[in-house]
Amino acid sequence: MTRQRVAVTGLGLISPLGASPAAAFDRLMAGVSAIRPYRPDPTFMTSPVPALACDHFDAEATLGRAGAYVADRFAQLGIAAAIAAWDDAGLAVESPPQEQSRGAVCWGTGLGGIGSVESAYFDLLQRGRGRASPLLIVMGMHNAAAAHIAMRLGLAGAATTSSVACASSAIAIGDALRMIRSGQSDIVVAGGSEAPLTAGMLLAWDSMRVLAHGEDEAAASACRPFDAERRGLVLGEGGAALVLEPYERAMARGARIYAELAGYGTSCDHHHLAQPLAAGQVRALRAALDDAELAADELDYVSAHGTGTVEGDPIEIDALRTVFGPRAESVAVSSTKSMHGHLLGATGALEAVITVLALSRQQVPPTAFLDRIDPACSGVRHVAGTGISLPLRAALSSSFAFGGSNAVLAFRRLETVH
Amino acid sequence: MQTLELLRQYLQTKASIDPAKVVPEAKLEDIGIDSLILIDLMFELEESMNVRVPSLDKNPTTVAELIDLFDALQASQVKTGT
Repeated sequence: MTRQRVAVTGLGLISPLGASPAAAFDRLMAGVSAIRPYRPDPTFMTSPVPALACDHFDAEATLGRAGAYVADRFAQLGIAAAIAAWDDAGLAVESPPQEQSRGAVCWGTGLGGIGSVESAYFDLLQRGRGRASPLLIVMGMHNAAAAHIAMRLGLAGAATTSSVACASSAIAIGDALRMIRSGQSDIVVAGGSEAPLTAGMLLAWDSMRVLAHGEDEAAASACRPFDAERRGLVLGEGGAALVLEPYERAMARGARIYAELAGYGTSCDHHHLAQPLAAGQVRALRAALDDAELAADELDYVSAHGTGTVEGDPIEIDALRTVFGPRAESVAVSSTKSMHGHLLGATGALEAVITVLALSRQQVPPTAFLDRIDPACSGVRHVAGTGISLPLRAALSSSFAFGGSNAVLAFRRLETVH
Repeated sequence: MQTLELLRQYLQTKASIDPAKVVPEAKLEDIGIDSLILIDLMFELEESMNVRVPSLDKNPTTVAELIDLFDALQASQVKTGT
């Protein structure tokens, strides 16, 4: 039996990178960062840190005040991204929605409603309130975003949530691929959202000594993956979603197809909670290529995990050199985190959206601020500074998580893309 | 502040419910107060009025029932001096 091909027919993004995925991609191609100095709470943070914040996101405009009020920011960002993707796929956003009996949502988040949880503890312990809001339960739970999305779009088949740190939404997208291939679902909204810019989270990441610093204008260029002067990662918030459906269904309804989601590979380092391992990443990269039935020499671009940490970046490049051998020198590699930072559980979805647009436009966005490649990160074709046009047949998007979980998505260009 | 006014203020601020619709005879579900918002509303009223709602056999279904519940709790508190 021929395996079901899976088409990407809708993209949605809530990010200061741009008002639409296309606008965000244009900005990335120009190498312009959206990272700014950020300080959530002067009580706890003496100075700002670089971060990607969705300052102009208006939750009430999309969800209404009552809808926004019962949802944590991570869910708000997620719902808005999912609705945008659904709309982009040419599907009606109705209220109440039409039930999609075989429709599903596969969502990813690392921290869920951490902002609601953190502020409840602040009320309890700092303000001495003595009681916690009953809404904390439904705002704090990790599956809140998926539940809201299913309600808004009438997705009756399944609503799942993956919480696997920085691989959460890549795994959600991989699960969606399998759901469609198995015949369980005929349309899936897959993606992720994260709202990690709380005082507690920023301080904890800083204590881990992996957060990049930079004040004023220097904040924008604080994240420098693969550069010899890199100093760490930058946290970001946002939501990103893809609409996935069987290729035949997409063609039958005349949908615009951006690209094919062709494969998914996953692995576990089984090694360390916070230290990545090249061998584990190699297994996930090879599994994605195998699943997509792609030979290594058919692959033209890798959207790297590339967080900008001193330890992590060379390990990832080592894994790519192992997988691609001598051909690694001609595989374009970039980490757009240089311009949007690390969205943790949502980062896989954001970078999947970017990879899909790279294939459909035949353009590779750059690693911005990559001025001097660290010799330990050499051996691949780094696209640095600004983006380039390049014939792309297939591309990978990598997400490697604390806990050693690795997830790699493979996308293929479709000749019928329009 | 009267209980009705407290209710109107809360519902307008948190859920954009028009105060003109918050009248005693209105059914809670008809003005957009579902079970989740009701439980948060009762929590907020408990805080504002410094009372505690005991276990209920049946939740209030109209604005009037909700007001009566909280007014009675406040009255019994004044009476017992607690």
